[in-house]
Amino acid sequence: MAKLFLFGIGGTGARVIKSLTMLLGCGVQPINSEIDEIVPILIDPHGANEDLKRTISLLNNYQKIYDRLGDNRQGFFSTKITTLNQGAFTYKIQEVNNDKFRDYIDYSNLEDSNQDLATLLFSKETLDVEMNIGFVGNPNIGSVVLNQFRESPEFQQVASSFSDGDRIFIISSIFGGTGAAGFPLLVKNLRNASAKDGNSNLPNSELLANAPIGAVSVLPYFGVMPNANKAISKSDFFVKTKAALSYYERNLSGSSGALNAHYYIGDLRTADYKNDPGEDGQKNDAHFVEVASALSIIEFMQLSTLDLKTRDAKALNTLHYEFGVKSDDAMLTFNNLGNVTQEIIAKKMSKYFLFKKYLEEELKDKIKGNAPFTNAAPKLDTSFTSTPFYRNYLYDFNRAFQDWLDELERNDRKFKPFNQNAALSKSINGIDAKESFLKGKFNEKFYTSSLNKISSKRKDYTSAEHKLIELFDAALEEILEKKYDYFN
Amino acid sequence: MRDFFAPMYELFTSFYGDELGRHLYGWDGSGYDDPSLYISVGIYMLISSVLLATLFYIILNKPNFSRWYHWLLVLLINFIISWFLGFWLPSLDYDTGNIAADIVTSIDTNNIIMFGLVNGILSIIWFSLSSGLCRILSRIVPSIAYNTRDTPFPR
Repeated sequence: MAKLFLFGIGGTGARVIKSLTMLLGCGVQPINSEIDEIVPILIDPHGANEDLKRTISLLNNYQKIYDRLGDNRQGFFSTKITTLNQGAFTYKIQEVNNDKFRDYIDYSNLEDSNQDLATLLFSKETLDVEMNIGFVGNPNIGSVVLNQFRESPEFQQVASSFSDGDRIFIISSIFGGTGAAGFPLLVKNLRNASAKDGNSNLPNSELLANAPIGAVSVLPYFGVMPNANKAISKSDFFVKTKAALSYYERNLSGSSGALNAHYYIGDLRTADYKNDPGEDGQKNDAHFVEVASALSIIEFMQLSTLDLKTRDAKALNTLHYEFGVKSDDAMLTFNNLGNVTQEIIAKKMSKYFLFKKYLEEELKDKIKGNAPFTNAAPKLDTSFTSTPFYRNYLYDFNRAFQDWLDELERNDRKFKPFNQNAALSKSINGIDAKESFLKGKFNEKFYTSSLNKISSKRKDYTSAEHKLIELFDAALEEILEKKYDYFN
Repeated sequence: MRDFFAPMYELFTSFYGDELGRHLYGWDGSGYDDPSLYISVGIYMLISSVLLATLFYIILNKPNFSRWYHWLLVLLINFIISWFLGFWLPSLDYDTGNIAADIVTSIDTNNIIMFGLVNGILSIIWFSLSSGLCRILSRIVPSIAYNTRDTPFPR
C-alpha cells in the first residue's frame, strides 16, 4: 500500500488539513485507492499561529486514537495518519525566530549594489517584517525563506521514505504570503529532486521527481476588516491572486508539467475576519471552502495511477478541477452539495455527529444503568471512560469537532449540516428521519436498542476502545439505513 | 401433575393450614378423588410467571424498560396476579360450599388469604427461574432480549 505526503502551507494549509482530519475521523475514505496512509507536513513560519496549533493538536489526538484501534478497519478513524520518522507534523523553518526579514537576508552586510537590488525588490515595510508571525501576506519574503526547504532534514526524510506508488499533495492559499510563496517553490524542489538536476545526495530522487503531485490552490474565500495600521488588506487579496494565477499558468499548470492534478477553489461570498497578520495568534473560523478543499485530497487519492503518469520529472497530463455547489445559498446543508459530495460526506459526517452526541448526552447514564451494550465484554464502564483514550484523545477530538461545526455554522457562507440541539430525528439539517406507528421514530430508545442489538451479535472486539468505535459505527450504519430514505 | 405441584405448596402448609391443604389436594370427604386445586392454581401461576418473563425479556425488550426496578415491577405484578389466583379459586369453593363437611369448619378466609400469599411467593421463584431461562436463551439466540438480557443483574 502507498502513502500520501500532504503538505499544508500557511494558515489555509493548516485549516484544510484540520477539515481533512475531521472528515477522516468521520470515516470518510478514498474509494478504490491504493493509498492507505497520510503523512501531513505543515509548513508555517508562524509557530504561534492558533490554526496551526489547533491542527497539530487534532492530528496528535487522531493519531493516538488510530494507534489504539489498529489497522485494516472501516469506519471512524480508519485512515492511518503518520509523521515523518515518528517526528512532528511540522516542518521547522530555521532562523526565522525573532528575525526581521532585513536580518534574515543580512541586509546590513550586503554590498552596496546588492543592498540597492534588495531595496528595489523589497519595500522598507517588507524588510522590517517580523518573520516569526509569518510572511504577513508577502510572498516575496516567502520565496526567499522557503527556498531553504530543499536542504532541510524534513525534505531528506520525505525523500528517504518515498516509495513507488506514493503521491504528494500540496495545499496552499493563493492570496496570502506563506502559501502563495511556498507552493511553487515546493513543486520546483520536488520536480528538481532527481540526481541529474544536481541534488545527487537525495535518496529516491528519481521517484520523487516523477511523483504524482496534486495541489489545491485556494482562492480568496474570506476578507479582512480594513485597518490602515495593518500590513494586510482585502484589496490586495485579488491583486495577489491575479498575479499568482498568471504565474501558475506559465510555471505550474498545463504544458509546464509540474502538476498532475490541480484543484482550484474559492468563494466570492466572503466574511471579513479580524485583521490579524499574526500578532494575536491568527485564529480563523473554519469555513466550508476548507472542507471542499479537503475533499480535493480525497479525490486525488482516488485518481487512477494511469491518469497521473509522469516522465522525466514532467506530468504527461495535468488534470484541472473546480468545486461547485448546487445553489448559491448563504447557508449550505447536505442538500446543497453535489450528488457525489453528498455521497462522500453526508452519511459519514452524520454518523460521527450522532456518535458524538450520544457520548455526550447518553453514555454516562447507560453505563450507570448497565445497558447491555456497555456490559458485554469488553466492558464500557467508568474505568474505560477514565482512560486517556476516552477522557483525553477522543474527548479532545470531539470538542474540536464541535468547535469546527460551530465555526462552519457561523461563518459566511455558512455550512450547517446539523441541527445540533434538535431531537435526534430532526438533527440532520434538511433530512428528517422516517416515522411510523409500528416502527416508531428515531429517538434515544431506538438508538440504544440498536447498540444493544449489534453488541449482542458481535463478540470479536479486541479492546474497549475498539468496541466503542466499531459498535457505534455499525449501529449508526444500520440506524441511518433504517430510518432515512436519503441514506439508502 | 398433582405430584408435581402439591409438594411445592405443601412446603408452606403451616402458613395456610392442613385442612385447606387437604381440600386443595382433592379431599371429597372420603378420599382424594376430587380435582386438585393445586394443579389449576399452580398451572395459572406458572403460566403467568412464564408469560410475564417472556413479555418483559422477549416481547417488550425495551431499552428504556430494562432497569432492575422495571424487572421488580413486573415481578410484583406477577406476585399480585398469583396472589389473587391463589385466593380467588379456593374462595369459589368456599363460597359455593364445595368443601368437604369434615374440614370446612376448620377453614376460614385467613387460610385462603395465606394460600394466596404462598402462591405469590412461589410465583416469585418461578418468575426468577423464567427470567434466568430468558437470559440464557438470549445468549444462545442473540437476536432476542438484547435490551433486557442483563436485567436485573448485570454480568
